Amino acid sequence: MGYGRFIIKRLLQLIPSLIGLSILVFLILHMVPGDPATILAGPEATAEDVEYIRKQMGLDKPLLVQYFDWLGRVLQGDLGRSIYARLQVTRMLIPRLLNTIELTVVSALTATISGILIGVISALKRGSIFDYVTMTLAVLGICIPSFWLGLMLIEVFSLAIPLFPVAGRGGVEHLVLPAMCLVAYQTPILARMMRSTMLDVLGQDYIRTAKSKGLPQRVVLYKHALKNALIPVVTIIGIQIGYMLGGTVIVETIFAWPGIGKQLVDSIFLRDYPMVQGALLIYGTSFMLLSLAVDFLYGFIDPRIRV
Amino acid sequence: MVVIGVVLILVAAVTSYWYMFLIPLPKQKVLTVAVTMEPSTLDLIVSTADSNSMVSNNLGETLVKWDKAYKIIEPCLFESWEVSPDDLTWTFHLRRGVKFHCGEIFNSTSFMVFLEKYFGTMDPQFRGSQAAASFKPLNYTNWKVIDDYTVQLNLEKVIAPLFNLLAYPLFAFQCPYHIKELGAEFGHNFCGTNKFKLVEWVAGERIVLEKFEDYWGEPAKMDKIVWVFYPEASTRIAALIRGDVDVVGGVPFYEVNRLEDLGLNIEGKLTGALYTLYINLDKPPLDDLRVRKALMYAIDRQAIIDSIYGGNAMAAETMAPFGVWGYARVGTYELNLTKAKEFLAEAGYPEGFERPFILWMGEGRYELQKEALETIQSQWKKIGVDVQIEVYEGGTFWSRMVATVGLSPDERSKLFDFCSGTVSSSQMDISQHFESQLCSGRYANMAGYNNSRVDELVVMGRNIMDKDERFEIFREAQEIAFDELPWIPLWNLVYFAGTSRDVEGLIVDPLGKLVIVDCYSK
Repeated sequence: MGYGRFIIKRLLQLIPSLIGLSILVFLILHMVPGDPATILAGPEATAEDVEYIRKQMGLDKPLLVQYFDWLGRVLQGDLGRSIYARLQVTRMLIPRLLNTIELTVVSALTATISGILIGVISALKRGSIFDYVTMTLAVLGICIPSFWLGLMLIEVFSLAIPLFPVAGRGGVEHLVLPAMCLVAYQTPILARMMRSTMLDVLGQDYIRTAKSKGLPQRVVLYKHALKNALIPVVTIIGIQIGYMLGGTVIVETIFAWPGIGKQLVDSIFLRDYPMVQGALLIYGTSFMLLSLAVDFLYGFIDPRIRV
Repeated sequence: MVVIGVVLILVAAVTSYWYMFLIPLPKQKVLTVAVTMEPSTLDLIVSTADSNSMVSNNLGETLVKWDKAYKIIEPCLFESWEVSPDDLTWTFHLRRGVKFHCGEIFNSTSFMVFLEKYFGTMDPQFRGSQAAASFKPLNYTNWKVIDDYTVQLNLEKVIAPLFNLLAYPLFAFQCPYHIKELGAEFGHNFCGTNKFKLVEWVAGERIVLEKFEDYWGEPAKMDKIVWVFYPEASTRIAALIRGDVDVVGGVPFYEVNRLEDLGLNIEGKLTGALYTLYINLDKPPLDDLRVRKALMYAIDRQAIIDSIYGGNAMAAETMAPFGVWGYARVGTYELNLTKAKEFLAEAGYPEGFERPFILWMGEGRYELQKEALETIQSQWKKIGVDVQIEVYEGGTFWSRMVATVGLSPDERSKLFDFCSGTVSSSQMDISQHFESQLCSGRYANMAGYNNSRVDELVVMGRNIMDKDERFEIFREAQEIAFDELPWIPLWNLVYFAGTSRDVEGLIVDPLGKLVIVDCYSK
């Protein structure tokens, strides 16, 4: 199968997933205990007001009709208005999504480059001091909880050595500490993964064949070994980016980074349903697109996947 | 990783120095304030959350306002007033020379148009809120224009806390034409008359207020106030120590000494919110006063205050939020296990109870809540009372509370035994929470309390303008409720805020909100 057909097939597979996601997100409002209109109306509301809100929210219509009404609006980019802020959900969420992406891209790039580099060197110099030191640090990095690390980074790089601002978003200097906090967790995972797959590949027959053919070390390493060893690592990178897009709430909270994760949590606490629905839709969709991108990359690195 | 880290650090350092040298900061007096939460809206009809009014209070002014000590109400946008002998007709004189931030003039016309817009076009979604309900008597239909700077309010019934309502941040005046133009989005804009105007709101990052040059009174001392939102207390404190921010709200009490040692200023205030355990009076055996007394006498509140809150709290001595008008200390309940056991024996439960009691608790309602409740749990074990604490996420807890409104006693008897809650009065008058939480049949009466004398007293207190007489009425109501214990009154906590050394004029209001408008750095 050609690469083009592979892409089309994967894109078509995306459609049922997206429909499933939209149904789940839509049902959130209906899984709330009690009548949403009554809860929204407040304790002193009159029956007419409750009825008005129910109508306004379309809650008086059959569930299926409500779903398609909602889906129709979503497809036109209308996710509704936040209950509290009264602003368009998209207007509230997109700047925050961009902030999260900013943090994710910087962290993912740093983590990927450093992870792969450390992994490859450790594999090549297996048993060396470098290998021992980096792999011990890697275990540490994975084990340290990010809230503790975050506070320590502030303590060291903001207070003891006043290099970076404590929190908030602004210039590049604001990005360093939260990115370091994320990188400290991501790099070790990648480095360890890279090291073990690299070792695995280096022991394969085709590497021995390539070496005995007299290919230069550089070609053996980069063309044969690295490319093959990268396949599982790419999957991990995809998962990690997905994780960072969604799971940076702790880092966002400690460094007051105005990202989408914290917004989602705040909206859940406030029971701001349109915001929760919007954020989940954005999350879900970006996760799917991300895994799609990983698959494409996969198919590119390893043509066997396309079959 | 090390190499990249170093590169990153270098890039950041170069950038920040580049900023410093190439773009010299204009010499403006800027005060940066770090608080826990970003406002969700500045439209207080939608939500009167402290995080919202803390910012909107710098932008808008009310018709009358509290003095700095929060004891008396002073003129503000209303300069003076007269009242008819029956206390029903109020003639107010508007202050002259007041402008809105957009340049519009504040006079009788804009006053009336504002009321009409505010009440008339209010989204039904918010008409039912408690805040909106308390303003019903002030609806625009009850006001009349006398001349350009005189308006008249005609009431059907006397409202004793009338001035509390007029001073309530919800009633801060905004340019009515502005509201119309913006529609539903005016909660993210604010065109008031106060010393600062809103110039920038970057979602999640900051809100920037700038000095309003045309302010009618004493001008603002700062050129700018920048609000930033740091949810984590340790981050706020680090930012204060480093000097990134000048004022921080919500300093945990255990950090107070360290900050003072570092030379920072700490402002502490015993706040109004009264922490309680509502008792479900529809659920036997809690309908028996002797059982409730036994429970009350078995709690050592002072021990909890000392061990968990480091002494930064006060055991409640009445059923009213601390510091509101009408607050009277009416008694005390000290730990007395003998008395507690006697009460239980009298009620027919000398060995305690077989069934465990259920206590609902919502997360994040107040500091160290769970630890405090667990201590009560262990204290009650000594008289044979076994309590299971059911912890709910904040929003779920709230939904569950709302879902109990309007249930019959029979349905209520299947719910919680105890429910952890907070009682406060944003209008700073005792009638507010007495009416909603202690009068029979009211929606927020979580206990299901029903005492006809209390009902009667509250109605009397609502309709009497004479302060002394009114005070006595509410003292009696507090005495009755404190004796009958529809809730277990626990404590009031001290709220701490911190400022850098050169900041002066910070006020923490009785609700634990930062009052920044006259705060300045030298």
